[in-house]
Amino acid sequence: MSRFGKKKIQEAAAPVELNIMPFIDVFSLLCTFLLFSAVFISIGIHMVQVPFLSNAAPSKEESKRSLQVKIDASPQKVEVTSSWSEAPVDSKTEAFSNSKEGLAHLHEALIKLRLATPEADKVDLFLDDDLSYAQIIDLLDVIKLRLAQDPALAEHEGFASSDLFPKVVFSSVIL
Amino acid sequence: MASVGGDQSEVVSLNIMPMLDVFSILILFLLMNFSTDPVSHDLTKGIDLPDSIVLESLDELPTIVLSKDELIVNDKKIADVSHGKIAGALRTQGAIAPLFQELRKMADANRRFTKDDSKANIITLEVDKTHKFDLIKSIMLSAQQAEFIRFKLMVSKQI
Repeated sequence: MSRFGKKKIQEAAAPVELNIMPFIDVFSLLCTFLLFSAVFISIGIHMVQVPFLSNAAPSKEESKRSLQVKIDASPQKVEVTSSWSEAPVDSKTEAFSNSKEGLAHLHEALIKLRLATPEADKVDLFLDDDLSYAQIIDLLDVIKLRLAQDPALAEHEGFASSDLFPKVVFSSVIL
Repeated sequence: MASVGGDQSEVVSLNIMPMLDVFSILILFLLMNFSTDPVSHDLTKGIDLPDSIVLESLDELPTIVLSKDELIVNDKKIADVSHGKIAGALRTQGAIAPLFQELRKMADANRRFTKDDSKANIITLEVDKTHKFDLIKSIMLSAQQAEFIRFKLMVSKQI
């Protein structure tokens, strides 16, 4: 073998080291960017509405016999009243404590109402002045959202799969 | 004399593999938590939002901010809040007069510049979780008089 050939073999056998510094640079930059843009609190929204006067003529659907659900909430208890807009009115009232367990029972009662009347989508909410914002949000969670363990509800126009009663009106906000 | 530093010809190499491991895990964690919400908003100082299981994400910045000690509309201070109440002189018929005036201006501007009427009457509220409905109601009444009838209530999503 020639001298030149020997040198080539020796070079090939020498350990090759990978230069990982550029790799670390990229990682550092990526980390910095992600830390700057990280949002550690995710913000959601609950859509509600207040009563308003309208000059529009009542629609045909509004004049049909429909279920009206009314909820009165105070810091101690929550009362649900369901009644039909036309005879037979068949008014029913149930009371629950305004606690974690009470709200779970309220949610079950609302699920039953929705299963019995799939087209019902609105709840009139009457809130006591002493209720805190946190309590109002707990109540809205129970009224508006269907949980994963809840029974499947009949699909209805304008409803998302996670909706229980999507329209909540703060009926006590009135002059 | 014995040398303290040891053999000076010895080559010391830093093992950077653990650092790379830490970096990889940190990147993985940050990428998993990377927010894909339409709007990124840092909470206003002095506001603690209530927790909620809601799925809908914030899609516009809050217009009305009610912190523990201030009422703010579009970064403009409207009134001081003390012990969860607004000074009585500012409240007329349940509504808050300066808030109504500010929102009225906003509603007029919305009508002029927004083509989509369904979005013109919506307002986003950022409220501290300790406030009572009495105060929130007077804010909603003021907004209602200024023709804002739908409200997006901001909450902290439980992930």
